[in-house]
Amino acid sequence: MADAKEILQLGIEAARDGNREEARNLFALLTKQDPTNIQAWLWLAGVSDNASQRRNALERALQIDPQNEMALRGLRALSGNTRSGGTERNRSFIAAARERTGALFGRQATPTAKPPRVSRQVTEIPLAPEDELTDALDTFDEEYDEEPRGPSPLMWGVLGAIALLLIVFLATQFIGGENSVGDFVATSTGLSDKTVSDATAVAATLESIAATASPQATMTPAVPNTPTPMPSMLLDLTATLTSDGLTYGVREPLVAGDRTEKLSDVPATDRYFVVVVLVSNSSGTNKTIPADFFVLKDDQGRNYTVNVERSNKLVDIGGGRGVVTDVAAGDELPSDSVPRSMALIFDVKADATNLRLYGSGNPTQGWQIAASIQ
Amino acid sequence: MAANAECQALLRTANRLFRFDDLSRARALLEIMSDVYPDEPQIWAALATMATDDAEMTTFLSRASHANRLSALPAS
Repeated sequence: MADAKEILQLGIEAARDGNREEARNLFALLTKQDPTNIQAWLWLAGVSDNASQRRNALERALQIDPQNEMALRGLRALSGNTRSGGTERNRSFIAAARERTGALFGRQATPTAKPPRVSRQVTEIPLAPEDELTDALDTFDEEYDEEPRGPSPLMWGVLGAIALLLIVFLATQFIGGENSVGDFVATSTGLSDKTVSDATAVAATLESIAATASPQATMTPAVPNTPTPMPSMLLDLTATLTSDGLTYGVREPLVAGDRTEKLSDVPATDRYFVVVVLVSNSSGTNKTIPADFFVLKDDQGRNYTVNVERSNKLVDIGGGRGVVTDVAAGDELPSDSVPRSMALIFDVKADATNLRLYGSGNPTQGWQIAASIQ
Repeated sequence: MAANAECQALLRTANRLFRFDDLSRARALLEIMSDVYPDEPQIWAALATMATDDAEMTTFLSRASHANRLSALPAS
């Protein structure tokens, strides 16, 4: 039986990293596997994305342990939650904005009650004794913080000061003895003679700097005119490719890393590595996939082709076609466009890393299969 | 085909663990998933990739094939 604690820890790490959806999935899985796993219920409550889910999880925890303090406190807080819909939030925001604008322009601010901070109530609910859960709840709370998010009072002050300076500046332009209205228009539009001449000088300077600093920039191409290999693109594991009427793909996560030293009586050079692919033939003629159709590559620069004999042996010892996989690697595929699973066995060096699978006809597109086979 | 989006997301998590060499937790996750979703062929096939011996791999692949045939049956 798998250790559920490992998966609980995995969920906690996901929650800590801010990946609440993954954490929810993991905790939900644990509750499905063992509905009496109270820790999973509490954590699920901690990463739930709405009050209903949280309440349900807390209630399930209480069914398991009616005296569970964390669940009780969580439910009490939810029941006392005065959180309401967007109307109240909008009203609170408008009131806060009025208060701020009133202060800015010297009017009496409308007295308002401070809007309830639901997030504080939630933050104060430790749902489980672990520090990690508290951290997860803090992350949760940040997204549920209903404090209006307008500019801060400091920002309002800065904006006011800028507005005041602008008014003073405009006033001096109009009232000042040396400047006429015409000067003001020219200055404010940046079209005074001085401004134009300055701009011309700066542009000329920039051009001369550019000409002397990088004389070759416009003389020679930056990239040598030599053929460069097309970069290899790794595909999503759900993607499929087509070549010669064959459509093939590695179904997620049918990425096989067989770590057995030997598959049968024939020893491997190093390690057998199994990749299960789905292949369909729509070419119009029945086909046997050539041994070199699929290639496994590693970061050491080695290419591995399918060991057809071993692949067929796997199907045989597994009970024949349709038991282990639909077909063996050396089988003829009927042209019926039906996807069939096929186990490909590669004889891979033990130190191989970053294994990628490629198919014939698509040498630049492949799938990341495994980091290593150690 | 995975049963639902949650199962697919968990398969992606297992795949990520596998690819980052966290084999212990990848296998633990897949084993729990196989308890919850026993008719999901992808889970059994993924478990087969982590088999520690021939017998285990054969068992997992057989379960994958069986589940795959079940999922291919038309809904009655």
